Amino acid sequence: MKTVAATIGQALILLILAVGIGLGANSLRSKNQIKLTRNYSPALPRPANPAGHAPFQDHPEPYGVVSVAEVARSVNDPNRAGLDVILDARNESTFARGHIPGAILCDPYDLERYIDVAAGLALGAQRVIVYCHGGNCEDSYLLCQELIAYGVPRENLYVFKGGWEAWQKHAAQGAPGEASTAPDSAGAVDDAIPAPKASEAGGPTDRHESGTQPVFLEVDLKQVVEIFEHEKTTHGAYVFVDARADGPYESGHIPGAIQCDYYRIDYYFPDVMAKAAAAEKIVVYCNGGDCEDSLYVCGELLKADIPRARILLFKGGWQEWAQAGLPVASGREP
Amino acid sequence: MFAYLAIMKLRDPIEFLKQIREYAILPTDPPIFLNLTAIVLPWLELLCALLLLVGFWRRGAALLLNGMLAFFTPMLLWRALSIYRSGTVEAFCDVRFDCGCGTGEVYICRKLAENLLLQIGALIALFSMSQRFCFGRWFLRQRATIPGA
Repeated sequence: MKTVAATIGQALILLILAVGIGLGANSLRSKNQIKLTRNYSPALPRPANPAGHAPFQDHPEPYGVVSVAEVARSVNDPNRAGLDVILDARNESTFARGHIPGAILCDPYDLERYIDVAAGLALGAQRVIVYCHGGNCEDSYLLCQELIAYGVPRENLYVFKGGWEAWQKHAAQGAPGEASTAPDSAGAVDDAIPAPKASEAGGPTDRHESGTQPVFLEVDLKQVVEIFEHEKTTHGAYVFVDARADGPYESGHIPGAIQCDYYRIDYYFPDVMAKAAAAEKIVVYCNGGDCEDSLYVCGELLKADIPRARILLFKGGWQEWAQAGLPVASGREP
Repeated sequence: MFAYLAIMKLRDPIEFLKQIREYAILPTDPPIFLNLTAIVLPWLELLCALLLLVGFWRRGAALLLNGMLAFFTPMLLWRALSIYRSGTVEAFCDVRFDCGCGTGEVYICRKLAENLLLQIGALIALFSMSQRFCFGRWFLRQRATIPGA
């Protein structure tokens, strides 16, 4: 009995010693220090109460209302690109038959498929215009309700009550901004960047139990290559950020990519911000597969007031780039 | 072996943090539990390993090592089973991942066998009365032969 008590006592003292030594040694580290209160796997915006929101009938006109003329102005004014986001609350087939130019599909009855991209864009916009068929259609209100649950401020939401019907009449009158029948559902903010595909980018992805969902524009390998080969990359207007640790980065990275190891972000972020602050587009990647570090770096860029519309997430990551036999740089230099 | 694994973890504590997060045992919010575990565990392992070597507080050190092994070995098995069930490998023993043990990616069967041997060793250290393999015993014997020690 005495031996058991002594053994347990020894174990407890060793535990206390280990805590002391561990904390002491950790405080002496610079680059590899683990900050006790820092969340190294932050949860990105999630709906506060997706199932329990009040029915929109309780609020007859809870959102701003825009006319067809205002929508046309938004579509035609290049200064509004990226500031106004137009969301189409109809279904895929009706959207494909025709939609307002630049509108993003977000069917509230198939929300999981579209909400990631839609909410991501809406969160970064000054004004979110939502429409559906028009007439008695209330799906635009339903979508607005869902967007609020995802953190979009109510005051940024505007319903285009006339909807698709009104827009078609407006287009038929020969007014500027004709109805678009383009099959892709995302409106490109910058012509130089191919629009990310909502159907590919939408929907929850494989996550560990922190339950994060992507709320950034996602680009595929083809789009990344086009950005890489664009002259603006040479001039620093388009920037690549590698969210991996030293070893993987030095072994190989996209030429010109600057390193930003998320777990040592205090060390790397100043250099990243020096380039990202002035960049028009920032492509962030990590290893690919289920690596989430690029997503976390995107979150840090957002917190540093980089507009969401400028941040592009390359989920295929280094694995996809390397497997495609694309150019590779190695060592510490970008 | 414990000392070696502990030193490997201490070389890159942030990598160790990432690996233990993958097990999803500890909550990420608040992050202090996960972060504290990543800071303390390698030092605990190293301390216990050194004490086992010198034979000082052998049972306390062995108890802790037994506890750590008894906890993490099933976690390893559970994670390996998850990977196996995802259908990406054909045989269970082909499952390979970085377990956060300090040696990079390992094949699960080999790792389980290794842990089993370590557990047996730690149990012997816990219950054995002998100090045959303790360096401390050799040191004490040397001191005993010095006149006046």
